[in-house]
Amino acid sequence: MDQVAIIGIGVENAQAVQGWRPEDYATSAARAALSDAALDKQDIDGLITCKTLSGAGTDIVMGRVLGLNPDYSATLEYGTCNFSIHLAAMVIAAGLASTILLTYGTDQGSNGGDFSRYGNHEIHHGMIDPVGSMAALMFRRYQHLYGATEADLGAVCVAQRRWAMLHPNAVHRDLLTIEDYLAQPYYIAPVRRSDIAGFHDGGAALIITSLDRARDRPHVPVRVAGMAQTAQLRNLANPDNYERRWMGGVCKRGLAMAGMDRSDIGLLMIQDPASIWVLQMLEAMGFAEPGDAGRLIAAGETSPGGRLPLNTSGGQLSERYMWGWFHIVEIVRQLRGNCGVRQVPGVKTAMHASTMVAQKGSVSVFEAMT
Amino acid sequence: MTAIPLPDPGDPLSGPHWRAGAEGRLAMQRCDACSHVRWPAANSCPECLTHGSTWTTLSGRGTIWSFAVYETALHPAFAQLCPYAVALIRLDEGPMVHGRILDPPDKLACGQAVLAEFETVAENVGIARYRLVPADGA
Repeated sequence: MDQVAIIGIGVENAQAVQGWRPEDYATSAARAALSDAALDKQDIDGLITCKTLSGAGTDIVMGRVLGLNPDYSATLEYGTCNFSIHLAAMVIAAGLASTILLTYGTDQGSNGGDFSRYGNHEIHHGMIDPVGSMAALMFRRYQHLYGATEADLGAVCVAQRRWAMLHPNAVHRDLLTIEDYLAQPYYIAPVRRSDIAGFHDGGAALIITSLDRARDRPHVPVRVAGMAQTAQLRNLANPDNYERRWMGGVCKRGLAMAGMDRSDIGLLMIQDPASIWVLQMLEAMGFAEPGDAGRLIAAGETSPGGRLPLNTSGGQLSERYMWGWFHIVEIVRQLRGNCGVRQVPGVKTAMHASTMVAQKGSVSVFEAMT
Repeated sequence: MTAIPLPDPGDPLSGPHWRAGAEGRLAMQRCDACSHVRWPAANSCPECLTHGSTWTTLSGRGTIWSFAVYETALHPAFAQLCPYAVALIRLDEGPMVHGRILDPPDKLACGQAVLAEFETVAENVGIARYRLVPADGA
């Protein structure tokens, strides 16, 4: 893949702004992204927006709010960041647009609380919170397969908190030790509250353009070097679908497109609405042996100073839950070298891995164009 | 007790499942062409894509793939049940289903055999609950 790069990022970190709708957070982030890329609104000829859980933020609405009549616009049914970035790359490669603004904004922190309010299709069994319950099922299964301890899972939360403590915009910045973690009551056993991301307000925007246009911008462009997806749409009809082993193939294809190996990746950002996602994906993608990810994390290998920096923003568990968009913002900041005390020294490559529950998987590989 | 939304026994797709549950039977569609047993209910077979199927009573036997334990209720309707476990169960006939386990959560483990029994929660709506099958098969 040698077509597109991220040239602008913008975020809105404000919470519960009186009178704001999801589109307002997205618009504020979009304005910041345009400024970051030193572009005017008129330079944008494509718009790809991410719809919230509540259905806000579609291209139809965002185009009106942003005052745009682009050559191309779209909203994916499930457009969390990897998936929307891939669409942007395809649109540019196909010649439908050249400079695309991607937006996401949400008020789900002040207007939703947490996952327990959404998608409780199995409530007649007493199953509540589709993410929390799925995480409990997944980790119990993981324990059954590998004899993992609850401290192995808690290691994810503890390590990411260490990164978040270095991130001024992270929501959760208090020290979290493994003892603190284990002292928490179960949320849905065997997972605790720290294992599940809370909801927050906020917004994010990216600007993606073709490589030739990317070179004269103020910041180091971040090239999208590789992409891959899978759609496990049969879900539970697939044996052991909740183990996410199919992320192995996605990772392999994404790296192949980038012409890289796992060892070339300097920064990993793994989508983490729940901590077990991280253990599963690290192992499925081959960054840890099966059953060994918790030990690797507890040993500090993914923490500040470790050999495999992981979720350096604090991730969704500690920075904030922004559907993968802040993972990409962190990748761009790290590859630009703008991360201050949490900067990974000399990092030039990064990977973002994400899933839609257990039905879609996605990997993007990025490289700084220096 | 705060009411929760219950399955609709009049639903054109899944209604027969809930009505069979009220009769104490675990019923799913078996494809008339390829015999694949499907869940969730669907008009066509996801294996061979044909439409004909027959609602069939299953064995009610399965194994626990994994389970989640609610020690505190996340909805007031379930407060009196705590602690309770909801399992993901692989039925002997193939489909994966969610179901509450009636045994104490501390007795459960992945891989254990379970057998369905039924709780009628509304007129013509029976929901499968599951109990551990004793190791000696009794």
